[in-house]
Amino acid sequence: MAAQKLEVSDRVKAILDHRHDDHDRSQIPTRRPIYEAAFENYAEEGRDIRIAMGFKRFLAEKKILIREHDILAGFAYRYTYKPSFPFNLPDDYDPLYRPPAGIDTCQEAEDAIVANGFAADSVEAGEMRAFAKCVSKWFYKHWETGHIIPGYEMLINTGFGGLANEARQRLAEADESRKPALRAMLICLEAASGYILRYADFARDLAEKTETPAYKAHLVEMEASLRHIAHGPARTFFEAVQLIWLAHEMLYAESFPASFSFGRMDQYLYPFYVNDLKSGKLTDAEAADILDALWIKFGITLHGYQNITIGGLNERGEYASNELTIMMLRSSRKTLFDQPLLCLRYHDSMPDDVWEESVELLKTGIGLPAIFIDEFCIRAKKRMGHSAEDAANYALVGCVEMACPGKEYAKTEALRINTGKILEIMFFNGKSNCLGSTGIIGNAVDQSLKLTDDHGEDYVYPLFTGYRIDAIDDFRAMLDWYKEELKAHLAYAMTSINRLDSALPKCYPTPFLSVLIEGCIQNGKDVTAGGAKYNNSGVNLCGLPNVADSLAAIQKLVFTDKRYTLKDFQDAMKADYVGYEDMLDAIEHDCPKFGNDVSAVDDIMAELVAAAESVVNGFGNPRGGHWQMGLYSVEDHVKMGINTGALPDGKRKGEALASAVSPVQGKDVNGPTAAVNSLLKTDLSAATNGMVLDIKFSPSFFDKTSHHRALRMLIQAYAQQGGGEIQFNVVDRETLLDAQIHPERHKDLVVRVSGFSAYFTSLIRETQDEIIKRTEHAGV
Amino acid sequence: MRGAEFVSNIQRFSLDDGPGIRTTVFLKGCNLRCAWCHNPENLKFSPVLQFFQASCQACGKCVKACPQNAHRILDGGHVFDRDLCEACGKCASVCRTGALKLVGDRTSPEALFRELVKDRHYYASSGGGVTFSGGEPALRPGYIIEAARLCRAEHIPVALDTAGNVPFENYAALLPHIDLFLYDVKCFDPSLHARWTGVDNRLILENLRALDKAGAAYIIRVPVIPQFNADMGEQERIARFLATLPNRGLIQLLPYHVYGVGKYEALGFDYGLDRQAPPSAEFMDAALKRYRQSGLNAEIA
Repeated sequence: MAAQKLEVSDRVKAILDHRHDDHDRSQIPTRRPIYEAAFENYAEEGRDIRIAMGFKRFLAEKKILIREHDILAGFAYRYTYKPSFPFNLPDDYDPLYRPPAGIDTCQEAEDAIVANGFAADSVEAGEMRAFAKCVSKWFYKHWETGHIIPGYEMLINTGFGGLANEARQRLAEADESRKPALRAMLICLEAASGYILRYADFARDLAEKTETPAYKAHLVEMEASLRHIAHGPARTFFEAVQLIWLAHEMLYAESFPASFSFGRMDQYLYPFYVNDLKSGKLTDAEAADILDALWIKFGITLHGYQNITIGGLNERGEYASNELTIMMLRSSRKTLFDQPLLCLRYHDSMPDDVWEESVELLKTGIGLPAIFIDEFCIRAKKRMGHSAEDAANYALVGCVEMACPGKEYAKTEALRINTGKILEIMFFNGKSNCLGSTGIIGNAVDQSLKLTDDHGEDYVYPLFTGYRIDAIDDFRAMLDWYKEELKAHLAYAMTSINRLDSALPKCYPTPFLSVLIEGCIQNGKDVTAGGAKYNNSGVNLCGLPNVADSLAAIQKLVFTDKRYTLKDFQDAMKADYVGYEDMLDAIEHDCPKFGNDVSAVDDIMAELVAAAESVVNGFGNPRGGHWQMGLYSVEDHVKMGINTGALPDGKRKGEALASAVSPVQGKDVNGPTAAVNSLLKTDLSAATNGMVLDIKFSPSFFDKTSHHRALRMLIQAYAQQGGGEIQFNVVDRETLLDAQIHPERHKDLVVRVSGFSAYFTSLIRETQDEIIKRTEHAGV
Repeated sequence: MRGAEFVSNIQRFSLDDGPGIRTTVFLKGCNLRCAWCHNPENLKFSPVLQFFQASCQACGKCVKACPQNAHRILDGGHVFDRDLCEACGKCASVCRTGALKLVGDRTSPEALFRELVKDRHYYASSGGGVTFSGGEPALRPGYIIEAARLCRAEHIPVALDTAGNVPFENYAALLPHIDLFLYDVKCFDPSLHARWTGVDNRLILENLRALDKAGAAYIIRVPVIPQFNADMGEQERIARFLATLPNRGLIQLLPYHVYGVGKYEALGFDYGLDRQAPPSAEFMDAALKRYRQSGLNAEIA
């Protein structure tokens, strides 16, 4: 039973066939000059107003487009606007691929030093510059904005006009301190209405020119809908979807790309769907076409991490799936794009039809849907201070992070720490054997920036305890030292991000996003200043399975068997194991590996996570929120691995680190239950910012329906034992190898990497290798 | 080690040897010689050495390790003289590429249980458990009873995958400790059976009748093998026989596959069956229909 691709309607096929027509590099640099002109024209105003005016002018001038066959208005461009935030983005990248883009954290730190009032030569300024340097070397990773589920549900039920009325009312009552933020939000709301009216005019003009009667009729209806939703709430299923898309488009005009996710779309669109069906305004086929059209827009923008959450318990504790749940799973199977990321909320009471439809999508190998365990996620949100009602309504954002739709400024990707590199530099007094490449930005590796002389720079990374490797004489001392360094790095990096965040409302407020997050209008505060109801920040640990395997190897070979010394490890790591092949053999064959249900190493993992949690939990941020911990790595385990030298687990210089908390690639040989058991020895409730467990199957695994049931039972047992997220790659090794040799034949190959799906051929070679190496749990 | 037996493999997340998620234990030693056997490493009761030529890098470590001088490196290639090999496993313990593998690990029931209990949550959530397979596990009733006692004390159900060619007293002893038998019926004609497996099937069919009468829960498994029994006449005879069993449950038809062929080469065995294509889907469907016409609850597994 091979995976079956579903066919789209002729109407949707026309959209699909023209989806590549909108390449237009000229638009990439348009945003920044318009914003800069607005900043100049409103030089006497505060930062909020100047940014709001930039937004307004950009929306008035930017390119918009509807094609006559379009079902939804909206310009699904394939590029990213150059933002005003310190950001590296070339003006001329190829919009066929995601842009190589990254934050210029060194500049961001300089801005924040000024905004925080730190003297240029102060201790704080020095710490922030050192932090930024660590970010540039992938010791830490920092991402700004995004990772938010805007209040799209609130928007379709209130409308931009309703939000503007509220903002006006609050402005009339507000004290002086709140007025600038509220005025900025009001400017953005008016700009948003104006933008939708531009589309209404476009639809009217296009309708006049169009000769195909069916297209013409739809464009006339589209124009009427657009005129209404420019201010009013959505009245129909079509209007709800249309309004969400245009608001989404506008958010990407305000901020540079990061995850904007959609929350529980099958739930909040359902009343519109039911009403329209009842009144005869809509058929199932039309609803499917509208969703397919929306999916195509998500897919061709190439913006990453657009999550849609389906299924899950409702506030009464019943599993809430409906016709739209199934329809959305099918839209993904019809389009097979890597966006949107479909996230299925799992509970034991999930009906079989949802599971069978999910299996059909899994069989395609695009790694969707990812499975999220309701008990785990709801408990995590409650632990982070969410009300019972809000916790039950969680949805996914970014890769695997739980957020409260429309009420949370989540910032789940604020920080990631390369835990492997901490271990490496402990052997070398703060130095690394891998200068690495600072030329990785976004998904691309700029080979010209790859430095060849890895010993050419004597950069010393921070170590906090003052211990030295040659003074360590038992395993407990080694493990405790690592835990101390890990905790100190976490505290240092979280403090640094807090300092950057304190500067955000002064430097880079986001007034349009603020109107879409409940609480900001009411509090008269920008979302970056703490206007939202929930304000947590995320720190994510990368490479922990390598550290656990490394420490287990040290325990076995140095302290139990006494076959090698720590000095031997130091020498071997420095030589990248060249000339130390016997040692590499001993590590490979004689030491326990995480992922095989062996307590000697699984317990180390548990201890590391608990140590990290003890410092993350309770660490505050400037918006009145708290830090929460994630055990997932996106694609950064590859990038961080490239920038990390050899490790005691046998990882060679430049090789990828383990993905998330999945076993080190290829080291789990006892099947999926053993891999799951290994992980479950760790108290995963610490992972309040989400976690990932990758399990890979070959397509033949799904040939038998008894296997579909068994997979569900695997998830059920995982859920009952405290698991959080599990995702499945269904690709055979030969296909992946062939895709490396003949990328042109496999353009459509989508794989789940670590928390996101992507086109295999668009990934860097190192990530491709890593996916291939992941153990394949063949058809048993 | 008292009470220990040679186990060749403990397969976790096993989904095709009984209901639910299971762990399958493969015991060494069999008294049939089926031409299509896909676990030839379990035919002998003692350990055997597997040599996977494709994984060998001719590093020569095994040459030094072998007390029998069974390994040599000639012109950069590995030459293995199997006649000299006593399957002591010394070469496998120094082999780093996985080319040499000793199959058969002496395992006590207690040590075995410690592995089996690890997946108890998955057994419970899926209605699964432990399956003993082989080889012919029914040749080792004492060992299985010991392991099954430990499992069932922890509410882990136990299944036995057997070809039926053992004295009935073995089954009589096993019966109180086994929740489910997976019982192979390969063909009905005794001479056909003898030609393809080395023994005729009178005892096998007798044992099945006796197990049925004794009230055992069992699933019948019929391997469908080209050249041997993949013809409608033989399938018809099997179906008619099975229909005479009053307490029969599920009947699974298992289409032949070629996944075991590589193992023959690694063991230095000749493959008893010419490389055959699996039976066609049409044939399998027709056979299934025939079983169902006899009132049997059959499926293709």
